Amino acid sequence: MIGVGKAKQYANVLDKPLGRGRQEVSLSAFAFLFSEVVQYNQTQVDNIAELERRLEDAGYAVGARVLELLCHREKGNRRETRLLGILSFIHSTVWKVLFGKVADSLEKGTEHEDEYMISEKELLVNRFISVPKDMGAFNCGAFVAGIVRGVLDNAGFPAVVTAHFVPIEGQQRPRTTILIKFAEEVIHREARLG
Amino acid sequence: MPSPSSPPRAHGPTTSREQPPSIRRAPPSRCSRVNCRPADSAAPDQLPSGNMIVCVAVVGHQNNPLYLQSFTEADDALKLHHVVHCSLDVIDERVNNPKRSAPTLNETFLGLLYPTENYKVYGYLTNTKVKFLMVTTDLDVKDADARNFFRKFHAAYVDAVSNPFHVPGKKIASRSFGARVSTIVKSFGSGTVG
Amino acid sequence: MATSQKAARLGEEVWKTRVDKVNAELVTLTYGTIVSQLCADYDNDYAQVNQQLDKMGYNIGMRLIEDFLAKSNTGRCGNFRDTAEMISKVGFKIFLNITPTVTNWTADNKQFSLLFDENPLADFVELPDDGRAQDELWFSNIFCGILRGALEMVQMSIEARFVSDVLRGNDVTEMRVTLIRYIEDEMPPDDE
Repeated sequence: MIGVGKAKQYANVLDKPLGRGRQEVSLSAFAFLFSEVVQYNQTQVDNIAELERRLEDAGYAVGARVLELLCHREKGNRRETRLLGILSFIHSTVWKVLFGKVADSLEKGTEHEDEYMISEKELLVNRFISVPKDMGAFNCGAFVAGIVRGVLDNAGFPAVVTAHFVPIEGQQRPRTTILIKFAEEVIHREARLG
Repeated sequence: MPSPSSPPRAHGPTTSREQPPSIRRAPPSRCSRVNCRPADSAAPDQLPSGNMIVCVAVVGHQNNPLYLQSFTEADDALKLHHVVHCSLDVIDERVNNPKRSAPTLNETFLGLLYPTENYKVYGYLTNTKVKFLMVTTDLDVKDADARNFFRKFHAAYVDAVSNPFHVPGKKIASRSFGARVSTIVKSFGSGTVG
Repeated sequence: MATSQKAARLGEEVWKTRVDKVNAELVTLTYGTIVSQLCADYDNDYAQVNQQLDKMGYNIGMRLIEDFLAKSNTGRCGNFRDTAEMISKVGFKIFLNITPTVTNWTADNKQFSLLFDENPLADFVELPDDGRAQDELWFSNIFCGILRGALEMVQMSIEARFVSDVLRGNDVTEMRVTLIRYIEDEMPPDDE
């Protein structure tokens, strides 16, 4: 039997190689699972807003854990204390680990001091879910928004995070933008740190 | 399929974090009155040779206790909890009033928090503002050993909170976490590489 | 067994060349969230949670089979033993990059076990210590539904259920799969 050498159940957990986070599964596995998450949550809610909120909560749980995992594994012994630091961490490290690539772009909002946007031409979770027309502007990106909020909140940068479709000229499918609006205390602290 | 009411975008983040009871922190002045227990010096054969960790603690970002384990007689436990409380003060001070030139500004390993006559307390602050504390009776601890300890401890912590059934902010109830911590504590300082 | 080796090679090849991959942790964490969400929604009625997981798996299985057939480009299995090999060496391989062991066949070749020595869905998981989860919850029950749904679409009616799980403190994680009947009569019976 051809077996792929993967992390086994070690008798002494301390023997487990620390780098075991490099294992992979198929994208389809995630796609099927995620669409079941959406289907199941649909049965538990009455409207789109609630559906998005539940997806967001599910994402939050994932984000909180991803932060712990990645901080320990990727960042070694450094802590993130600056806004741009944590945003860059999300845009590059978190995105790379979860979606296999860094996010398409990270931008600062032009109208408000406390807004930042991470954009993705085709967000993974939206790639294989086609939203029926009668569900309006429902965006599965709410799940990813939840992940981002989970990461930010637990790293000490509370924020309101939402996912939006942004139609792009010349492109058939709209871009997904994750909008991050930081809490006042974060902006003040950032200003204090200079 | 839920009926599509016009999907309002406005949904505030549901911060589901409870307000857990904080550890009541003793005023710093009391820390210096942590006295030597008479029995300590009276029975030298009770003190183990080599390094010994007497207490480890995990404290959340609101100073809520997440895990507290003593590895010594019950009488000492109360005093050790006291020591832990005082250490939190030290951590807060260091984090909130960092000396700009301090090398530990961004580091997770906080090093020696404060020594008493019989104990040394080491601290570690994760990216999620969770604090690890380690109290040892060994007055000759090598920095590298302490760092190594926290590295292994952090790995165990990450696995425990990655459990989908662990509720963030609540005490860590995982049995295997307890077992791993015991193993890590036992191997402290004996030169074993994790 | 020739089929077993062939299936293993096929599984490897498809995994290497025709499968888009993501980090396993994304799936682990997402599934973990599903289960804990279900436990909360059903108030820790683990029997209900198991049922719901099975239902979800069934929905997935019915669609997953198409993906499987398209990627593996394989024809009908001659008999149930071949089916078992395809499930373990190709099915689980190309979706989760694991190959559970096929074992414990009954004499009539209608029942076998899948032994999982690794399970990405259950990484980091520790069942709650409420005295019931360890006896009642089958954490990976979604697999049973997936097998049931997928095989139904290729005219096999089966029953799948876990009989042991390392999360419960057992030595192994074992799923028992039973062929109930072929749905279309044209399907040649296994005549080993």
